Amino acid sequence: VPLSRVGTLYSFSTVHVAPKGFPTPYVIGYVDLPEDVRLFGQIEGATTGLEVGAAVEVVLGVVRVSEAGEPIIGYKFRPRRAEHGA
Amino acid sequence: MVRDVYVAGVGMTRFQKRTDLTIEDMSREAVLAALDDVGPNVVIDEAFCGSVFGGSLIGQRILRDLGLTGIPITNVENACSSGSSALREGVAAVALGRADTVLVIGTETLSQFGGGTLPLEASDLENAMGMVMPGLYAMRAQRYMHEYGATDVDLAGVVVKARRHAAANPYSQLRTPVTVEQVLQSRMIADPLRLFMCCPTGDGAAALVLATAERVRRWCAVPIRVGASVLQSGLHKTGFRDMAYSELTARTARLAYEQAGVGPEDVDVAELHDAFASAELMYYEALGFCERGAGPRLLRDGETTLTGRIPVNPSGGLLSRGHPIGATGVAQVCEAVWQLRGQAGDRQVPAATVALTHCTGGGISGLDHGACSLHILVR
Repeated sequence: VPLSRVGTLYSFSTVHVAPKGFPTPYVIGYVDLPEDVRLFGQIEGATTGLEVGAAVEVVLGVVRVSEAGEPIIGYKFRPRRAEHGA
Repeated sequence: MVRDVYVAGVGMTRFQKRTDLTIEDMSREAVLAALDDVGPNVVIDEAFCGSVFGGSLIGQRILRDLGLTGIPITNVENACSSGSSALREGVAAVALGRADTVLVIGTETLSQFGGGTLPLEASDLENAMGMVMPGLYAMRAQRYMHEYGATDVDLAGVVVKARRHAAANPYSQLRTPVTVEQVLQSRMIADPLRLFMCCPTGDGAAALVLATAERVRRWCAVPIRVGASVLQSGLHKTGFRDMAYSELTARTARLAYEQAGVGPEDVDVAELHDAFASAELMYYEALGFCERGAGPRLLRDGETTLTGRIPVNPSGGLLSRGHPIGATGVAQVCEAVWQLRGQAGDRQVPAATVALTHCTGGGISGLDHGACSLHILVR
């Protein structure tokens, strides 16, 4: 099933205490895609003022750092930029 | 053959950081207290032990030095519901006629991890992507606040109540009363959850003895009957899930009420799984103590304090008594039994005859929770 790259933020939280390999603070969230798929992931970029229901898009990024200090790459989300400016 | 099952004796350690003791020694304190509570003639036919991080053969390691060997001993792991799942196995063993007296233990030492969030199953995708237990509850809280207009003052109110109750509980880890302002000044863990809104890390054990009607009549002045013992697991979903309501807790509660032949309006006292402050409000609703979205109002009206319509967590709950995870489900039943017997001291709920305990948890992708267990106890 091909999935959309843009979804709706169902809920989110800024995490301040986390296991090794996750530099804090970071933002996590559940994103609902139109195909009735919910994805969990970190949200990067301008996350201040983030709101439930916000449009976010899938991006690639560093999810965590391995014990050997190598970045682990995975999917993340970022707030979708407004199409016609602010 | 299904027989009535009774609680003949209960005992627990104070929940706290116990680095001076091994888990076996600590657990034996709880077992001896429970056996002592039954009396000198107690005979144990079978034992069940719930723990997550206790390691292999935890039950045998605890019971060996008490001479309780040779009997069937089963160890149960079910995340935060490990103790309550062991209890359910014990109830079944007596109910089905396999044993006349069963010992149930719940035990955990979390101070071994040195604080912070609990280690979660590393193979799980969400955990590998940065999920932590406070983060999961925080996202539920965020959505709940969004839908129902609850505020961080409501969350703080849960903590204030928990600490006030815990001040009268000698088994509780955190017994110092706090104000709403103090809760809101504690450091942020996962927005909107602050430190005081999260259950503390600690060590503890609880134990109880289950017996048939015949045995309990010989041993106990006030037998407490197990009216319901139910376990469910979360449903797997890959798409939308309503995170502002616990379907798993609601489903388990429905089955438990049916089994016990009572409704939420009949419950005199409840010990529910307030691992985080927001969860208590949401579980009021899932357990049927109020309508959806009415949790903050129920709390604000004082209905869940010791003198309210449905007193919740007279022990101080997970937020104050503490949450050494495998021990919690058994400790909740200890509190319920003390409440029903009228032995709860300054935290006594007046004239309680029906008590409910609710223990849930375990975080893996796609499930509300790994497990949820409910027990209803009747005087």
